[in-house]
Amino acid sequence: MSTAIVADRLCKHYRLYRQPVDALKELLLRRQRHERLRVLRDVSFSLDAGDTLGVIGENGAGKSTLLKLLAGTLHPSSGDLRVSGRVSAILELGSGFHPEFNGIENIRLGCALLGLSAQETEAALPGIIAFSELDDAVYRPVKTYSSGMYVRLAFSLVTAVDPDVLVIDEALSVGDIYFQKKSLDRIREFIDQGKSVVFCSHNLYQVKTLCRRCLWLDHGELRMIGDASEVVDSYMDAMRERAKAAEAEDVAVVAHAAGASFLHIEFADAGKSDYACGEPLALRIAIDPGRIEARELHVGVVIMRNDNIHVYGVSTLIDDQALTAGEDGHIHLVYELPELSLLSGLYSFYIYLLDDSGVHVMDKQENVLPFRVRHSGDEVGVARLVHRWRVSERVSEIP
Amino acid sequence: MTLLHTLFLLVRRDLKVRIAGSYLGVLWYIAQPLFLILLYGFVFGAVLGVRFHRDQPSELFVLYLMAGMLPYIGLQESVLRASNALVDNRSLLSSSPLPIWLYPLVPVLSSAVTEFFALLILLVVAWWLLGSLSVWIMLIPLLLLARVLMSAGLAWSFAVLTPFLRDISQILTMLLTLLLFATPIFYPADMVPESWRWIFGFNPLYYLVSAYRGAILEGVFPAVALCVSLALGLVVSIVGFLLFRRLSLAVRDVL
Repeated sequence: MSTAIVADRLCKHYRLYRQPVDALKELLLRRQRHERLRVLRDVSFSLDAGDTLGVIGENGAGKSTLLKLLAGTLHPSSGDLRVSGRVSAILELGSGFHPEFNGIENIRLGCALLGLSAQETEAALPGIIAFSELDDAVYRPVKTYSSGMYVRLAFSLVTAVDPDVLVIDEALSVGDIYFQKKSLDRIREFIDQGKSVVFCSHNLYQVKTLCRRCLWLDHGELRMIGDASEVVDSYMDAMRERAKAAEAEDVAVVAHAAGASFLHIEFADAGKSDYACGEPLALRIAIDPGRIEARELHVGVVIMRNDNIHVYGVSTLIDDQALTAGEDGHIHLVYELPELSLLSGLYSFYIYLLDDSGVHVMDKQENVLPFRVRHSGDEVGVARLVHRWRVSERVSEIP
Repeated sequence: MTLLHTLFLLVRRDLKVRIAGSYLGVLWYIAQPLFLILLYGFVFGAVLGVRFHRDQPSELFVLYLMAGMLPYIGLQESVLRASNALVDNRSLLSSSPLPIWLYPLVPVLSSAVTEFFALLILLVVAWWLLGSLSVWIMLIPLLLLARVLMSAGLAWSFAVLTPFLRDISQILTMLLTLLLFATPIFYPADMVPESWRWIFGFNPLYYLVSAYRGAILEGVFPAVALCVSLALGLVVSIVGFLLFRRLSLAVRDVL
């Protein structure tokens, strides 16, 4: 299979000058007068022809710069970039439009700016107008368009060019839902036709479903590249980690003279911290009740995702499960999830030792036993809920 | 080919944009320079009584003035507008893979179009006042070429320098006014004291204006003036283009 894109140690830095004239002085006097802003550092990857690559990363990670390099509107500062075939890029939609002119005139000029010849433009014109669904509005000046119409025209224009490589930056976050779907379908069409697509979006779900592979940029460096769902999941884990609020409310421990405490807490499957959705997961908890009766103690277990979402919390008090001491005087408790229904993410346990009222905390182990869950499939959210679908002939049949 | 087509579309758009929505439309392109010429003609010809030849009637003075003003206005307009070409098209530069040297060329070419029509009016007026036209008016395409070459060279230079130093657009306005008065446009060259006339030798527009007047009004083949104008035009445009090329990568960092 041939390669569409080969990037080898791609670097891009912008020169920052205190004032623009410094740039001129630097050229003439050959003395450095700028600070470097490194936007991309040693990014290497390749993309097979017909493959789809998602580009994700936080704001300012260098995504747009990378796409502009691919589109050819910027040149790398160092490193090597080869893109084979005609590239069409959706970077800034409609930036070449002039408000005073009507749709048709703007399409003609837009096509020329994209590198189409006069004949190619005329051939593409009917398709562009049809796809934009502007009908008679194409004869009105663009300044009279709503922003949705504007975007429709721009998107139709850019995708009407028959590219080998399509570069898309965030373009789909605009327009109404109907047109978003339509443009997404158009992109899918490109993929089905075996074109290479590079797709950058903050909508990770779209990246996951549209792209086979994914590239994660972190402060200008390539953090990870590989299978799209794997990269997206890791990225989301990292984002949640960062978004984690300063700290969850601090649960005060009542220092009890009687000193009931956890002895140890561990996964039943010792050392295992990676789980697939649907797998069983069990915790073993050992407690020294101290001088308190075992049945006056309760254990609460909370599962938190790393962005501080309480996924599920329950306790022996809620479930009316009495605790008893074992032969060695300790309590040995197993918390079991026969079918882990969590979706991909990083999770950890918050475990509390409570008194018989459930109000006082005798001991706590917070943010312990971190574990990772991966699920296959495109479901989104926190947990897999038991559900079913039904299709009925009549409305009345649906309960 | 595609590049030429694109350039054509950009020029056409440029011409249409400036008159979009106005009542007189295309007429403004002719009305603006004519107004200036009549104004200067009144001040210099009627009030101050300047003449290019002894006993020249004032209508003919206006004709001479017009032949000098038209290339100047074309040059002034292209250079002034081109100096902002990169700044104004910033968003296009980052979204289209077109070579950026096209953008300064757009105002130059649109000024050539408007100048061409203004020259047609000059021809009509000259034919009406002089009774006949010389055969050398067939040199007009060459005259226009020399004018466009000079303007293009200056347009590229100022277009690429202005983003680095925004003050240039202010300085440019003054320089162009200076050029207007430093060229024998309102007055004949021999009105200037002999000790100062050497200055004209360094003024490309001097040769150009002489060539315009020679071919259109005096019925002579302005061999020297035309050749010098074309040669200077070529040099200016090549130097301008090379300067533009040299700075075009760096200019993206300051846009």
